[in-house]
Amino acid sequence: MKPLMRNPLGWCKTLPVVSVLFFSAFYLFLWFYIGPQLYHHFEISRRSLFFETGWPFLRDYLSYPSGPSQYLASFLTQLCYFPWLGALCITLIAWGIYRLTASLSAISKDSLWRVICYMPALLILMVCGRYENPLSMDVAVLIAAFFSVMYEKFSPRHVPARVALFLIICGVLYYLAGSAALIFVALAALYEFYHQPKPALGVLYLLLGAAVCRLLDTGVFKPQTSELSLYSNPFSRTVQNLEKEKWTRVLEVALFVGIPFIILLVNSGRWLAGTMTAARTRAQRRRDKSVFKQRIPGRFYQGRLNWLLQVVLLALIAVPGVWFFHKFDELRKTLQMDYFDCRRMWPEVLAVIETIPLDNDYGPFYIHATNRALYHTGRMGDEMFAYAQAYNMRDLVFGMREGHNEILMERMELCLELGLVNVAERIAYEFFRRTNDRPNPFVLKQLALIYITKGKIETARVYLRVLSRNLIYGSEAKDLLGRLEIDPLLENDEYIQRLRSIMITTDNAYVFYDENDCLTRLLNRNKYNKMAFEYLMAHYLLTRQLDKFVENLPRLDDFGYDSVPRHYQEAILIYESITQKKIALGDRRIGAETLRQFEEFNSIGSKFEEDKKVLWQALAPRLGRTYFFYFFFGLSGVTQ
Amino acid sequence: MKKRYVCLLVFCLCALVIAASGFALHTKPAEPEDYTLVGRTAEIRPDYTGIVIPPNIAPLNFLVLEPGEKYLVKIHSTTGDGLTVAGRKGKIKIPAKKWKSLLNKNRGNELFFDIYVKAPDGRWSLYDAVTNVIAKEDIDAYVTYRFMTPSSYYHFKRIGVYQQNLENCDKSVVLINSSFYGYGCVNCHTFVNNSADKMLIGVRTVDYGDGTLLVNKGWVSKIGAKFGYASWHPSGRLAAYSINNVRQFYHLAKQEIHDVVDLDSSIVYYLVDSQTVKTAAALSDKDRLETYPAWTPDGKYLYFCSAPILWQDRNQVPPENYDKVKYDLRRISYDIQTDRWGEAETVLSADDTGLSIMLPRISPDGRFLLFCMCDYGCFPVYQPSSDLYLMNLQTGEYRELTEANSEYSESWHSWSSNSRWIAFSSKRLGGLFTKIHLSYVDENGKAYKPFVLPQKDPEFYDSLFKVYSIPELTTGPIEISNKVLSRAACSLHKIDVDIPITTATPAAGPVGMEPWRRIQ
Repeated sequence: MKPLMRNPLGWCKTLPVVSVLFFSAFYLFLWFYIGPQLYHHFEISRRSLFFETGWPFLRDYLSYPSGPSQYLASFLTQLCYFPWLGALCITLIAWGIYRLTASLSAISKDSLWRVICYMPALLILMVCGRYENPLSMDVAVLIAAFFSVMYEKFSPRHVPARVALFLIICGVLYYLAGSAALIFVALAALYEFYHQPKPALGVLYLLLGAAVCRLLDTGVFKPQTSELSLYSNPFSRTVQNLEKEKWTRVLEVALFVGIPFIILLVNSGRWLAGTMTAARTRAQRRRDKSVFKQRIPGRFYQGRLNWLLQVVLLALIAVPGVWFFHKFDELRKTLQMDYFDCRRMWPEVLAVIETIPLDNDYGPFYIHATNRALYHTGRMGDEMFAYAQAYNMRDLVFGMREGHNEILMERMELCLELGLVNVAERIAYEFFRRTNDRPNPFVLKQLALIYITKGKIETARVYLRVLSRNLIYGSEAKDLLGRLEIDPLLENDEYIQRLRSIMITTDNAYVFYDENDCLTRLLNRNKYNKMAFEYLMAHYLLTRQLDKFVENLPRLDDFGYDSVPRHYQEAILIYESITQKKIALGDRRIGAETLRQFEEFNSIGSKFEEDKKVLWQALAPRLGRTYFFYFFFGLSGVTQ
Repeated sequence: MKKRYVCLLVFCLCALVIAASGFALHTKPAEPEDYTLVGRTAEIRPDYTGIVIPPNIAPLNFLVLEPGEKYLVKIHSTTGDGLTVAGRKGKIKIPAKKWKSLLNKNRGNELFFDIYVKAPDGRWSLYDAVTNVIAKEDIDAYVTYRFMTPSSYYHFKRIGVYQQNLENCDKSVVLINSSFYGYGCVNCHTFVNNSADKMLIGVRTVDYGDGTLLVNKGWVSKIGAKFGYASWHPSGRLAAYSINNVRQFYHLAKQEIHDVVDLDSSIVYYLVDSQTVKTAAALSDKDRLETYPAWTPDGKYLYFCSAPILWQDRNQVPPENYDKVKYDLRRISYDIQTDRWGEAETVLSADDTGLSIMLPRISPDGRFLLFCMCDYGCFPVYQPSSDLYLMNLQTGEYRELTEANSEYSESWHSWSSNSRWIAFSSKRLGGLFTKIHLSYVDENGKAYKPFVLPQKDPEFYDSLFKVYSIPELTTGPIEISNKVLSRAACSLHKIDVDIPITTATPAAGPVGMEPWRRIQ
């Protein structure tokens, strides 16, 4: 054994420096920048893999092809709840795929070509960067690659035995990982083609593999729907795939064909190189070798140069690749907002929204989440129009026609907080409908609270029992079930009692809910429902119904407002200006700054009233975050 | 040599473990000799206490809700050896063979569950026996039902028609909507005389249009008309069905958030041989809503529900006075030989009852009419006030089936072929999820306490957030596969039918505006 002193960096030759560096960077980037905990949120929740403990859930997955790998992927997705653990799982899977690819390609780690083995891992990172849960595809590919390596290592020399082994593995793999068995088929065929070499056997494998998969699908498993067996197949026209974006599908297709493609490339390259080498003369070879020896003295330096080159090459490929495919800014911020929103971390929600450029194109989710955060931080009346509001999204509470699942979740929670218990219930079922009735833990909990509030305790228990099987939220559900045993109606629970005190008790029937009517009914039910009041006033402001807004101003006394919120002051000034009527505010006053801004608005307005574009440019920088601006232009939170 | 001994040892150990397990499984658990009498019956779930059960029913597996470490149940009757079942965590899973044998030998006798519970301190307690009665008459061996989540009522996701073997709890899919790409609705399965040989299933699909699948002795054809609530004439030569312009809406404050109204409806009938659809004036009055047809077993009368239309605007949803619509029970005579209809007569008036009369179903022996009544409207499953009633067709008297009703909705009822059993959907277990309940009805029309459809897992219903609806009892299984049915549903080949233009309702035959999909 060589002493370290003589060759201090000699350990570089044996330690996989490149893979350590690459996967360390992979892990840290995934953990701190991408944030796997965000996979439980936003649109991903529509395709999120749900997981329940217990035999019935497992039994369902074991009953169809690709079920076992999906089960494992579902389990691993739950671990993403803990960022470090989720990042570790994905990194380990990526590393596993890398190692198996390297084993299949038989490229030395000193070789520059080794870089190609990192490509599948890189694809995984790219998929992660698009905030698509990569686990279901990754696990299937990993299993397929593993079986391929096992086949290469343990396949007998005797051809019939080898074929039999191939068929067995193919069948087992099809059951375990669905369409990913085709990866194994391709790799086994390539192995036979290049390494044995038995090209005819390779071709036979391709045909046999496809036949086995088809036979198992139609003859043995006969799944209720073909979607089940095509789950890991990114090419197929399943609901699962059609819901994904184009580039995500492209990346998944690349991952699916990646390993066979790499092996094909490497082996073809070897074959070509072998052919060319055979054509060179012996003398040429001797000459090349001696030159090589002169220029690079010692393997030690050769080793260091190689891994450094590998690192540089990887960085040159990885950084632009990940950057090109990422959806960091927009989607990440939205996911973060949803993440904080679900946890009722309102200052954090606003902190995220403040990092989004004010002139960005906001969807209903942003507006909803912002307003809710503003309400809970006591700033709605003062700062609502400092953020983006839009007249065409004036429907603060209702309007399930638009938006994705995260907005449904948002509206469901908002309705429940307001006291619109039945509406929240309906939205919850709409959410189930969109997620194919998958038991989303947030929705399950909301439904349980809804039914407890309505006194349907047994129904609440059903949802809590389902939730109790969830790996992450199960303990919360069990705790609530325990409390229901002692206090069946949760009469000592403040939250439930509050809901019961504000929920509407006089019925009305709708196809589409009327926001004004519902919020007014809430206040008629309980005039101290502050959230209903602020949302009603916000509704009037957004819809420019200043007469109704003014009618409800006396309610400020019910909530003990010391002063009039800023936007209310602005609305009062507009109203007084239009109607020439003075509004009595009692001890409260319009602030001097608000008066000054109003005068400034009028002054600029009268100067440029003919040209709206010029008027906008003049007003936006100084007054774009006031109600004055919104009232005139129908938009707010603008600075230019 | 060593390897061989090791292998032999491992083999012997495995054999020992297997034998021990087998022994443990097959050894009859011993009844405790020393125990304390509790003095009351144990709480069990589902509630299988004080019920009348069919002699051919699958084991009534249940959960003992009393706290304890070990559980033992002795099941016995008048004749034959009883059986003893031990359970962990209170789960009692009764062995099927012994159960069957016991029930078969004791038709008409009482059945007792003696429940022993062992406390952590090692002492056994014996609860008062749970007493049930084994009826003499079998129940039809299969029940077919629609299975879905509550959200599926207004969106076509995850709906399927399934069948369960009542004798062993085995389930199978009849038709599931995920079989046809793009999903859709499957519903309104109807059988001729409780036989699975001939049936109808309605399908509504996004990509392949709407229709009704007619299954006749293994052959499937697709009729290009969506049948609403259908009823086969006992001859199997025609089926009456409703056409409903149905709309859904929502309540802001009621316990039940959903509600349904038929803006318009009428009844037509499909003649199988001529493949035509016809109607009668009394069944398609433009000022009335006709629905829920039901034939008498002799085929001479068609019972149906009828209500006056109380609104001017036939497009507004919900319409004015929607909560004042109450259906009468009517009937009309029919001669199948001449295809002639008589005059409609009111059997029971909503004015007299003060309630809306729904879902008439006549027992196969022709003696009783089972129906439900609720406060208003046409969709009793959404009405907590919906309760079952039974009318003696000979005397015309009717009464509430108090034995079978609860504070929640009971509806979607059907008869067994021997007229001794009814299956119906009830929301009594929690108020939201309808479950199938079975109840015995004796020759005098007395119903007995219903019990929920048994399952292999006693905890099956504890975390099931799905609903069962439209249970229909059949004597045999539906043999035709889901694959064949879904292929037919997706087929473009269909029997074209024209709905008579004299009706007031919009055409529901070819693909048209789908009311369910219009709801946002």
